[in-house]
Amino acid sequence: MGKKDPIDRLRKYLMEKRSWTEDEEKKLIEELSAEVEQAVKEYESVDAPSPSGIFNHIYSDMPWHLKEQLSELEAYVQEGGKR
Amino acid sequence: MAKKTMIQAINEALHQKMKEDKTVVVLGEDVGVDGGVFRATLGLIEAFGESRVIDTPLAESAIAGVSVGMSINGLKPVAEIQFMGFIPPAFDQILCHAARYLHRSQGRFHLPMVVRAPYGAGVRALEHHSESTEALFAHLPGLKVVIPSNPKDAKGLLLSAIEDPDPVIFLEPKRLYRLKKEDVPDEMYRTPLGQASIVRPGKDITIVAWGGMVPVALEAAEHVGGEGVDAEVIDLRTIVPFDLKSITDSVERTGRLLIIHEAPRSFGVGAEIAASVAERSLLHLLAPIKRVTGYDIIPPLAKLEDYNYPNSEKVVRAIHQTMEF
Repeated sequence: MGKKDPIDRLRKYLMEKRSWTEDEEKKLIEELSAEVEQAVKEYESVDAPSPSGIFNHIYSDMPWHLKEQLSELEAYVQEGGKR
Repeated sequence: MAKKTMIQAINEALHQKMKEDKTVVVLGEDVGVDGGVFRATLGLIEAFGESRVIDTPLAESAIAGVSVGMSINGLKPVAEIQFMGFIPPAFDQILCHAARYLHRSQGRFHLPMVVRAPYGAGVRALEHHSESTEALFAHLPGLKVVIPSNPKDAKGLLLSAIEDPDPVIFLEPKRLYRLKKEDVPDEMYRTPLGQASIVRPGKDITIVAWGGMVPVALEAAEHVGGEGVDAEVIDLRTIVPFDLKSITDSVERTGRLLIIHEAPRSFGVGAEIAASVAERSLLHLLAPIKRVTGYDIIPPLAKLEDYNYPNSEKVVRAIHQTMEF
């Protein structure tokens, strides 16, 4: 982080004013990292939705050209096409 | 039924729809007190008040962005961008948000907004007032793009656009705003989006055009009709989603295709139509697909404007070339 990084500067300022400590910093980083790790685990534990989902909700009603392209994708997947 | 100009037809659609549906709101520069620089919104503020007809600051990004917010919250905004050339500041809101909210929210937020803009050249205008950049919007999934060519369609298509649950870019060929008066039914009616119209049936060659190019196509068709060539003219009306089937059905009968647009040639809507028809109807083609278009240039100013604008002579020459292949 650069010399002028505002987050760094705020941290230093708070620590000087004894409103923030190294321990609190360490604890917060651990908590947040754990939260992120948990989120990643949840994401990885869920199966990917069906590929045809990529065509949903582009328009309220699927127009003909999207239906056609969706069939293309479905055929591709059916025939074992790789992602 | 009475004869109306395109502007009158658009104005009528707005009056009638705003009366019928209190959630319809109009916003844009000079749309209220002034009635719009082309008078498209004339009389609306008097009829419906300041809370539904909003004179915005000179800020297209705000016009588009506020429309996004309004439509998420249950209103049906019909935003006016004063000239298509002014749309770039609104592009961010249109591309990054209007086109995507339905997908971002996985179906929860529909954006029934319309962005109207006069487009196209032929009126001796200054810089930024002659643009025809429909291809930019056509390439963005999530948007619909509609371009009427006559007063009757303008009213019916605008009503359908306002009622459509998805964002619609509604481009009005300004050169045709007051050019002709035609019969336009007095009552409300809807012209479906996504449906082309055969405005002149024929058997020798298919000409696809939209907006300001439809009269040009018809003039050229008249001319070659006198030479024994029977041209079928299709008014595309909706660019996205476009009615490819009407075109391929026609080409499979005529064997020849000509596409006309005033927008620059390269990477234009004509290229999409040509590629799609070639993919499906190749063996029916008796000649290469041709495009008569504006050049890949910035729209020229007044004295040279006409050279960039496909006219019926250029179209007639293209018809001859195609027929003689």
